[in-house]
Amino acid sequence: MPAFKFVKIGEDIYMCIAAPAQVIEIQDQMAVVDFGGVRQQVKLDLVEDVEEGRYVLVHSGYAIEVMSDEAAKESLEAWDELLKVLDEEDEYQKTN
Amino acid sequence: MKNLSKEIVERIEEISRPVKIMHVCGSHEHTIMQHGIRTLLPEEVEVVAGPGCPVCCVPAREIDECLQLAEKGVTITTFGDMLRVPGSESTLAEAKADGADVRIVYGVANAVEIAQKLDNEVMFMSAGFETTAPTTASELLAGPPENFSILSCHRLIPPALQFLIESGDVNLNALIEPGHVATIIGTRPFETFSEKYGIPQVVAGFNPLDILMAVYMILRQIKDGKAEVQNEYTRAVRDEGNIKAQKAMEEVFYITSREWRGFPKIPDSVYEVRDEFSEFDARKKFDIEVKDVKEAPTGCICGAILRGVARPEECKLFKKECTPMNPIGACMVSKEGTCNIAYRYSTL
Ligand code: SF4
Repeated sequence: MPAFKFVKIGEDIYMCIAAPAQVIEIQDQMAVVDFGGVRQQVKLDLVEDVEEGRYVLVHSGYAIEVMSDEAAKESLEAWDELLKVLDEEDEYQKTN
Repeated sequence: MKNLSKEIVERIEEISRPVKIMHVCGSHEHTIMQHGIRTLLPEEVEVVAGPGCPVCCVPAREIDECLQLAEKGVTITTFGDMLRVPGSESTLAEAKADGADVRIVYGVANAVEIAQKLDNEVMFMSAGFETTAPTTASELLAGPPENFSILSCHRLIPPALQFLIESGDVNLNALIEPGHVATIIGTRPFETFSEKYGIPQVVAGFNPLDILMAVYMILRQIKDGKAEVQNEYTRAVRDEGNIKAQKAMEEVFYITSREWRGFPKIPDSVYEVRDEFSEFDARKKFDIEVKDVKEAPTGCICGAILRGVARPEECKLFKKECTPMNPIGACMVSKEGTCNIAYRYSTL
């Protein structure tokens, strides 16, 4: 299953969508980021504490959030985890 | 790895009950249609699309404003989807064909670059919800060139939800909240809908599993008699949101009331440029006067679709006169529009 719809540039842009990318190089308030092979420049004015190597969520040429590595990779374990947490909540409710 | 989507669907079936869930995001609709999620769900679990397409929600009046500026010789920059959205009489694409300088950009930064290279006045028609508004704010804060201005068409999701809930038109029982709007504003602005109206809500991401999970979490809340905001998309959403982006928006914009396509004036639902930045506000910089707005092309029920009370298939023009190649209404123009998405996935 594809993780994210890729942000398309130009006519095909999806306005609400943002995609995770890895920060390759930072210069002042700009960064070169990598979307699994495709590189793009993004602005960093809207985020704090970015470092090279970290992942950011990119929208419309801007990084809008810094993500954890696991979050950006969007592995299936994340949903599995969430189901477990929900089940634990159910258990807790039953016993209380 | 076990089949997670199957497991979630089974869980949904176990606690299924009649419910109408609204989402308000073109990208959610896209995921739902692309992966046939409606067909995976029990019939009684209905997921409807609301006003989730920022391009579609721009009313004819704002297109007319742009057209006036184009006529005055201002260079218009905007997102590609905006070009064929109908104004009262015409579209930006038609103006371009007639010689107006209308250019497609992929974001506000791109529009500023164009202004730096041109002597002409350059106006950026800035559509978009809370996800996009901070990028516009950031450019104004950075001090764009003098010949640059914006026409703010930025709209806010929570006031539209408030309006929909209060109107009672849709009879919605639960909400899937748009993940990337929440990346910026956080989960708290949604809390009032649970507290005041008892509506369960889940902030969701854009993977099919996110949507299924959101539906499951909503049903679970209903089963337990709960109504709260849960965050399924912790990968990108913090409860407090992106404070830096919120501050930028607050510095540049104030909130006011204006109409949306398909809606009357929605109280406190749009961003307008603050006086401190009026030199970059196209509405102040140029005399724009729009009268006699004609809202929707004849026969188009885009408004009802944006309010979540009709599906594209109910429109007589859908797939006949109205197609993505020859769109009649805004919902067919934009790739995030419910009609456009329905068209693309119904012809596969
Ligand atoms: S199919 Fe076309 S005409 Fe009908 S509601 Fe959608 S956009 Fe409007």
